[in-house]
Amino acid sequence: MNIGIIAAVASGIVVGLFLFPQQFVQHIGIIIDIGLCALLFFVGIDIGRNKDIINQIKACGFRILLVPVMIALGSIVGSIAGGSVLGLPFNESGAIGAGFGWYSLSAIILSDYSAEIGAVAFITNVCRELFALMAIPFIAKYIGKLESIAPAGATAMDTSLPIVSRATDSNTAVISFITGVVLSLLVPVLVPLMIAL
Amino acid sequence: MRILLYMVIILIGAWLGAGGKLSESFTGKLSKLQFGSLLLLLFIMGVNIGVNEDVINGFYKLGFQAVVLAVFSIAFSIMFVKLVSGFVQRGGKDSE
Repeated sequence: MNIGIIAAVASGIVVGLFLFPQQFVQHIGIIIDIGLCALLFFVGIDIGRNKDIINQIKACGFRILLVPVMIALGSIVGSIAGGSVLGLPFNESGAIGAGFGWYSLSAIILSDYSAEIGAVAFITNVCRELFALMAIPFIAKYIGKLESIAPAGATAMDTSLPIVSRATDSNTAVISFITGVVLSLLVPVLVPLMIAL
Repeated sequence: MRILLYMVIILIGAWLGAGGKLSESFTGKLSKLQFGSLLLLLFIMGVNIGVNEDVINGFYKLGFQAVVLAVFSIAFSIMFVKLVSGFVQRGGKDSE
């Protein structure tokens, strides 16, 4: 996890606490919207430049798409279950779970709705990535190779990929990458969809 | 409506990226641009958290909620993948 990311959030909190003029608070939502559109545009270019994805899916068979689908379902159902234990509304906990470990994007989308949900989404998805990095080798060894991709969520294509690759084999690493791409595409769709329910 | 906007923006980006219409100098700077806009957004998100007293006062409570949500979503996603892992792995062997 990049120190710059934590530093950006922490310095923003300090500025918000002590320095940010109150009359500009109402404009934060518009700034987030514009920045988010720019970020998603860059993410789209990145995905478009990776031409191997379709070929890899064809080579492995389309049933491997069940892996990201089940991770998406499990993450949302699990966070709704966790949210019901905590007494959270199902749409809020479901939207946080639909972040799939992509803490920056999910938290930014949700902070447009409420600063509190944005903060919980950020910490939840940071925790998910940290837990994933620690748990993947154990899950690969004691539960199964495909199951070891599950905790990684959207990070299965980048930060968690080296851990999955090391703990499993090259076939699982390819499935991990495709899973990360599919889940990353689903985050900007499912997070707003869940919170709107 | 917002979802549609996000999808259209990603698709336009993917179309431009796949078509190879972007200059080398731009694509060379892509990861820096992406990371720069991400840091700016996270800073703004931090400001949004900092100006909200309820969030600051309830930070420990929010942290506990976050750990519970993360553990549940990981556990359920593992269980759901377990349901299909045999079927998916069989498919991989068939195609070999």
